[in-house]
Amino acid sequence: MNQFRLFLITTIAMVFVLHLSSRASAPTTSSIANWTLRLEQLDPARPLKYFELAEEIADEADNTELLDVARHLFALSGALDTQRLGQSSALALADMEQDRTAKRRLLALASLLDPFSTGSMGGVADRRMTVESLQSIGEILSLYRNGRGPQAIAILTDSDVAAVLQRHGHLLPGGYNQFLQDCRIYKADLRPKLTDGELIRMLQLEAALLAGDERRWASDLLVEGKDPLIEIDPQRIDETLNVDVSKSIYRAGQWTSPTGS
Amino acid sequence: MAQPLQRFLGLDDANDARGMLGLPAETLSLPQVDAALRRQLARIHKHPDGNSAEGDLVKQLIRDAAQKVKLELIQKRQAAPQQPSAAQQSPATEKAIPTSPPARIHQRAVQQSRARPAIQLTDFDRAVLAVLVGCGGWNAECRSRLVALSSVYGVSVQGLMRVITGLSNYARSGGARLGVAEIAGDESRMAAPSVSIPDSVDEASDLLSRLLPEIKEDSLWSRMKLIVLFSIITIIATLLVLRVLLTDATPRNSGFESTVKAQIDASGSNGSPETAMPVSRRASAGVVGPAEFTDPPTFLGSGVPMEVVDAADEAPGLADQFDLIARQLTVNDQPAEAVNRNWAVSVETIARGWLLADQATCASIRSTIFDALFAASRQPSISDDLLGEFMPPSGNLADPIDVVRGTYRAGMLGQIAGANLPPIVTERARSMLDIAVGTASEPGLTTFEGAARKWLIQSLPNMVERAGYDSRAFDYWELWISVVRAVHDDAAATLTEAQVDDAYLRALIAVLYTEPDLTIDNPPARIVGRLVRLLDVESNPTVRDSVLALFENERISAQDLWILTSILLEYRDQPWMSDDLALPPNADIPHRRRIAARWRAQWPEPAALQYEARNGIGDRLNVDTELYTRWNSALTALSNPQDDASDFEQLRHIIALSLLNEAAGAMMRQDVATAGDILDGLTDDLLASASSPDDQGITARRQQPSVVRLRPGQALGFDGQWAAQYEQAARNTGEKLNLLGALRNSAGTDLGPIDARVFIAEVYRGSPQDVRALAQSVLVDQFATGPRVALELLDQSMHAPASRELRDAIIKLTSQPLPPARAPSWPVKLRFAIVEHALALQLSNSNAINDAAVILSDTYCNRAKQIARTSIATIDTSDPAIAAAQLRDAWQSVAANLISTAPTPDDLPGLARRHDVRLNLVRGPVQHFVANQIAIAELLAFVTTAERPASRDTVVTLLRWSALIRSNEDSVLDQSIAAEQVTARLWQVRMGATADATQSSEEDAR
Repeated sequence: MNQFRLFLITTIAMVFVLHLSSRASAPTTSSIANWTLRLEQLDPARPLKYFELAEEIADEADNTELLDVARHLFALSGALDTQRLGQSSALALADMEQDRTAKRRLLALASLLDPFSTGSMGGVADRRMTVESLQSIGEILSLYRNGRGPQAIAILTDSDVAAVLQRHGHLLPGGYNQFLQDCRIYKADLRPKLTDGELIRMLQLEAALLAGDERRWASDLLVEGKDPLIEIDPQRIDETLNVDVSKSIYRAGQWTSPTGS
Repeated sequence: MAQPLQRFLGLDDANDARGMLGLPAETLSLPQVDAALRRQLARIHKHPDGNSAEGDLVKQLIRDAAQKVKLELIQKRQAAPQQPSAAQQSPATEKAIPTSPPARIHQRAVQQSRARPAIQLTDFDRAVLAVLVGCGGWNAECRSRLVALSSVYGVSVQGLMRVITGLSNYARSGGARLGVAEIAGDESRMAAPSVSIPDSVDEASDLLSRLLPEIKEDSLWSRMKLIVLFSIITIIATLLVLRVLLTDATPRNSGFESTVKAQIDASGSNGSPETAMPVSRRASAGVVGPAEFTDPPTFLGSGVPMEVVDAADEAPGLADQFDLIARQLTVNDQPAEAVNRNWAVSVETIARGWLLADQATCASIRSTIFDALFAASRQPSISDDLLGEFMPPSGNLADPIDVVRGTYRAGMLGQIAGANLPPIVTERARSMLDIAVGTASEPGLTTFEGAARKWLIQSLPNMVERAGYDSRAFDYWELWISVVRAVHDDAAATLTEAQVDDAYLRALIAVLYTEPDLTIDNPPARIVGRLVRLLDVESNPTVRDSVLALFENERISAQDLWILTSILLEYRDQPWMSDDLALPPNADIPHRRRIAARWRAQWPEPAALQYEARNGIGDRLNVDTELYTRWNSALTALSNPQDDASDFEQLRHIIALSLLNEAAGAMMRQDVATAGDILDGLTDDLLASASSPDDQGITARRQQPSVVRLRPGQALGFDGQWAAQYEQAARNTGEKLNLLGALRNSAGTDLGPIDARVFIAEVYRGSPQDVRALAQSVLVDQFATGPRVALELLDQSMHAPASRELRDAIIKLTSQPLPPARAPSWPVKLRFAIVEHALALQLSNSNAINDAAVILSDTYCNRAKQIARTSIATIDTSDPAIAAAQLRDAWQSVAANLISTAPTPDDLPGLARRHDVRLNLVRGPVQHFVANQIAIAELLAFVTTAERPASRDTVVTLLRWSALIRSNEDSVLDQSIAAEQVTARLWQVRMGATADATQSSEEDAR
């Protein structure tokens, strides 16, 4: 009986493994040709189908070609029905975007299209920092310079404060993680030796955070890293999504206009 | 008698009337005689003794001669054979005003015919002839009578002149003799047509007897028949009256409205072919055709007011008055009040009468006005008083004649501002002009025509508003149309037909933007109809472009466009027009675009270049050529991208471009001196940076004196020595005070870290209070530039007490404002002040960047002051983002005063929306600055295309390229440079160098 049970279990396990491996080895839908039929069935009068197909393709895509198709479908769905699908499309595209600036632009678009958005992208979250948080940041930096690192770490338990310093870690000597380590080292009045540049960057960081929107240009360029201003025209979503909404039909391997021209 | 003639005109024979006027012997026209009279009078005016008694005598002789010649002409024409009526012979152009009462017009425009129909004089023609004959020809009495006659018949000045011209053409072409019978006609000359009324009771009685013979019969049966008949009539009349009284009041349906309404009903709610009915003979099956108008949508205001006529009659004597004033001002530093009164009265007279006065008279008056202002320039208060009379009415125009008066006053202000007069007069005139018509630095504003035109455009909002409630609205508009034409009819005018059309287009757009209901008979509908008929649709490309742009303009409803296109089809009647060009009243945007494409395809493009060349518009530089050459060279130099430029270098680049734009603004205002100074400085800086890249160039030269670079202090002695002594002093207050005081003499201007630590502890927590106070005093006096001390001050600030003494000391040390010590923001503000102070003492490039930002703010403030109205204060700020926002507001106020036929890149609400979206995405002050830069460029594009509609395509291309460049930049400073560059390119277009702008932008894009 034990042998029979063992045999049964083994057989079931082998079948299961074989099944899994067969699924793994089965040819994947990695070619656009496998999606052609469904692409050709898309109708610009039903933008939601574009979005749904894009999700499916994005889930299964394992090469650049299919990812591009998924992006194009997301963009088309958002351009065809901005009101209902614009925000979702922008978020989906942002999720797939590698370029930092492009990602910011898409996230900004999503924010603008969000009917519940407060309108602000946030910018430097420091604007919303409380007086206490700003004080805390100053204290942390001073305690660090004065060789009282453990006291600085104690203040860093405030998540808001930690998040800000983490975001601007490039302005801390050695980065945020190094800063934490140094705080553990520099204690009992053992002060870190800072170069002039490191000291200036710390001072500029503090000045920028304390000044908020009124910070000077030197601080702003340092803190914001000269990031470009995102420009979006909500009236021209197709431009932001980089898609030609007039070509929304897939025929013969190409996107073309419904009238065929 | 011959001697004065010889003296003034070089003539000998006083009996030769034609010779005195300089006319040939062959047949002439009355206008030719008038022109000759004006010519000779002008010659006499210009003579040094023209105002003498002899001069007056010769003038009278000339006038008599002119009258004599005219009488001869009229008599000659009376003897000529019959020819077609003057009214019918005069070509009916698209701009014609009906020469007979509008109630008579029921048919389409008269066919243009080359045949000679039989003469048919209208009542008005006869009346005109009778007046001419009765007054002995064309003279002042005749003129005033004709104006009155025109008013009775509702004919405008232009219509009257057309009739007279027609009569003279008829006579010249050998028309039939017009005898008394033809002139008098069968009806009363001045009577309006009316239903003929039986002139006696007997006639009425006879008529009734014929219709009802029972009346004569005297029998009971006949009486019964009459009773029944009249009872029935009474009952029917009663029922009709009751019906009228008891039905709901509905708006009076004019023929205009009922036909248009029928069209709307026929079109159905969705315009589907199944519900549409062909309601006009021109509509094809299933398609809503153009609206048909029983009465043409137009209006006719009252003719020129009598005040204008009377003032024009007085005009020839005004030059003498102004000349007298000039002489009085020359000899008297304090002229009598009578001089001011005379001036005011004379200015008012010419301001009313200029519309009808001849050009020579106006020119001589202008000349004497300048003489008087020149004489008054020695006393600024007097010249200010004199100039004050030229301030045009603003805002609400109280009377239609204000259109005439205001135009003249504004025009004269412009002319004075640009005249060769002492600066005290021209500058004052310029500032008054700024208030009167705005400081848009519009080219040509310092000419009569430019300023007058600007004022007329600015009066449009008031005119448009009046159309909704003022019963005299048509009078206002009639005068406005006449004055626009008169401003441009000056033979010496630099403005052209293009500007006339532009003014009419702006008026049309202004009315359409009020969203009137053009389907009912109301003043806005009639005004729109009239304006459409005035436009030059054949040869002006701007009219074509502007009308086509209306289809894309969402502020104009499809219903209004339906009426507009119907008016064009009905009353402009060009060979290429067809019924399918009418836009249905319920067309959506795609449909509008399709119809617009159809118009574009069928409407022949006028020869734009030839038209522009003929009319003096197009690519013509309107600034000083030499300055522009230098400016353009500087822009070319600044357009070369700097590879691997540092932040500071990029900022310097932005400043240089902003200075260039500041110079462009000065050039447009014809402020050659300021523009030259800026370009001089710019060139030196460019050269300096080219030769020595380390030179800070612009920033070094233009550094604000308030920006003081602190030299960091130096410590002396051994660090820690003082601290040890101080700690030994422990509780010995006297010793502590001594040691603190000793720092003034021995410590240098900074301390080492150990000494600084101890010292700062005493600054914050020293005890007793005397020690603390002395430490704070030493801090301010001795260590204001000590970087180590500043850093320690920062690092111990969490122990800072909230005290007034400390607050005062920190304020003195840092020069930063601080809140009261008990304020909730005290700890943060204290720390901020100290960290800024500590940063300033660190040698770094950040100070140079911050200094450069201040200079950038400075140039933006200057640009805002250039264009802001004097009533709008601009603040000096060191924050570039605030300065840029200020400049944006200034451009916004300029743009708000313009009416653009094709707003580019968007209308003002659209531009505001774009700006709001950008602001939502801003992070930090630098991005905030760039967002405002882009908004400024867009507003400048709006203003440029409003002023120069032909530049629209170029401007759109510039903006598109700039947006493309910015979207590809990965640095906000690069975006800022791109935004400043496109502003410079737009200035190029505005200055009339469109070709340069286009070519350079192509290079930038590459």
